[in-house]
Amino acid sequence: MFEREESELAESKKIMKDLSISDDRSDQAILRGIQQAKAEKKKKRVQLPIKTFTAACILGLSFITSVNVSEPVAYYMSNVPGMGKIVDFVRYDKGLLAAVENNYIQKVDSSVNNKGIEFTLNSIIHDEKSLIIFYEYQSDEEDVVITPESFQLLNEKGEVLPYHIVGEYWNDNPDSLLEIRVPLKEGDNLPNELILSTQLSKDKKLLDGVWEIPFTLDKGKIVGKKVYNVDKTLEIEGQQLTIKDVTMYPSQTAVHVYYNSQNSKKIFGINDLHLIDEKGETWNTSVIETTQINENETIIYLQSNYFTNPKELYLRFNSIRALDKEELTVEVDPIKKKILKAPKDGKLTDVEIEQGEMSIKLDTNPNQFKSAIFTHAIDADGNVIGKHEPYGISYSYVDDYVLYSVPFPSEATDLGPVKLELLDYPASISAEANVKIK
Amino acid sequence: MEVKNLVNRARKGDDDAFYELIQIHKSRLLKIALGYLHNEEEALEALQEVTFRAYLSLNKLKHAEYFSTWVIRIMLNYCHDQIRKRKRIADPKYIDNLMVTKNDNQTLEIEEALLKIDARFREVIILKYYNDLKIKDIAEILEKSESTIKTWLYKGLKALQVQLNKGGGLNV
Repeated sequence: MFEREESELAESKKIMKDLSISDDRSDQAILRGIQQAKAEKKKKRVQLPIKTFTAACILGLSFITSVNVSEPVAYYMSNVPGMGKIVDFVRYDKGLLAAVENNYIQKVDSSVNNKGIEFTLNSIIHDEKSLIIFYEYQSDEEDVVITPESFQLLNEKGEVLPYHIVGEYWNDNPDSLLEIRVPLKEGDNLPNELILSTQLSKDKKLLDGVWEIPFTLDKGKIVGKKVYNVDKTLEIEGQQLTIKDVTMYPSQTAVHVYYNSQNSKKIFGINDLHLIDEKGETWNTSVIETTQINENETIIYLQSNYFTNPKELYLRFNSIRALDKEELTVEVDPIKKKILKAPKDGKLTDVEIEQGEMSIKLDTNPNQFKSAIFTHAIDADGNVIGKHEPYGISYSYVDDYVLYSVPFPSEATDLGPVKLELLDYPASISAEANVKIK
Repeated sequence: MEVKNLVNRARKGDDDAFYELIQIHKSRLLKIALGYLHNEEEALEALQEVTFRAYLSLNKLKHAEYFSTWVIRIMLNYCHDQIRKRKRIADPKYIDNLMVTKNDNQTLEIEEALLKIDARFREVIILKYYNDLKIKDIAEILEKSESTIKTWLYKGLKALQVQLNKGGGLNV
């Protein structure tokens, strides 16, 4: 009955077969799709300043990796009406879970619906260190990707307050809460009446209008920080670092560290820093940011044990990331696409320049290290190249490398060799450290 | 079984598993894309976009065992959108250009005809004749009963017949 149609369809199918697509090209398309999706997840963070970016990564990571949860408590709490969602979300951070358990959290539960997207402010945790906001959004439409564009904190008159907001903008579980934080400095005093305001985009297109939710801070809830002066200096292969003090807030613990400026190596960070009490219970890094005060002074944040109050408490770690100070500059010849100078472990390879970006490969396991090692190249005159353009970090767990890209317009190639200052690097020195806090 | 397993791993953030998932469906997805778009570059772009969308919305998939039908549906949606966009640019003044592209790509009359028929019927025909899927599988992907799919298939072929007898749109 449909012989002609069927035979023509068969013919057309044959031609289609001849339109051969190599496995290579289709595999590339898949990998690009994955990378694009990962970049979309991190889109907002990449444009943040370096400090917050690295930290935001750690946050994402810690939610996946740390599963040392006080399960019975979480189980109990998640059955308290209205608490299930927040408990599910904070159960990977012992400090936040304890804050919820101790009723330190302030429930808001207020929603606004605009253009078929419901935006909800679930609850907040407010202490001297930060205002933590747990929110979510739900769209009437399926299969669309909604992402917040820019969060702002307003006062009750609708005026923008000068705080920057860091945190998560996207979670692959649409039913999960998301967390953003407003870091507070000593003396910052938020008004009691606030408005959280954001714009949203759908499938990468900015939507008209704003989603705003007013809420009230209950300042009667705030409890004071606990400060432990430690002032203990450790020496690791000739490199000195000092644990100055440890401050506990309900939301997090701040560890204040100094690196000796006379060190021959630059210390980028401490690996596996954690608190441990006399019973062996630990509190790990679960931080949203690390505050680099200056080159030799930094604050590292850990999960809070404010509400636990152990008898004894120790700070421990087992290695630091450090590199000879002479090795901190990477030099690249953009014409020959050659690395002229780099750390002698030879992990930096393969310079590529295309589509306004220079990319350099770092041989490392992305499961263990994928922090930003540099963000922008500098020309011979010290000018930052493509200052306002975002940088990128891409990796796939299939490979043993991370690809870093910095903005690099084609005309920059004429500038001659360029420099990149290392901000972090996966070179570790083992060291067993154990410092008594109380 | 394997797909379900991979979906569960992918949901936990295992990118290898997700890559494997798309690999398993690659050839099917490309066939659909080619069936609609008749162009390698666009089919590759479609595969990339579908990978992107699937990755970002994997957790919206309620039952891991339906991954196959779900990802094919994402591809179908993408292809529909692309064709709708193309139609919008099919302004008479561009038709000359279109003719050139058409010849370059060796597009057959039947393919032009396919684009002119009801989208539901077209879907069934592409899945059956280009992807060699069984009525039962098509019914699952489109979430319709087998008898509906059979009806659409019949109506689709009928509509194609009408189009072909007209002598093909752009060639008139």
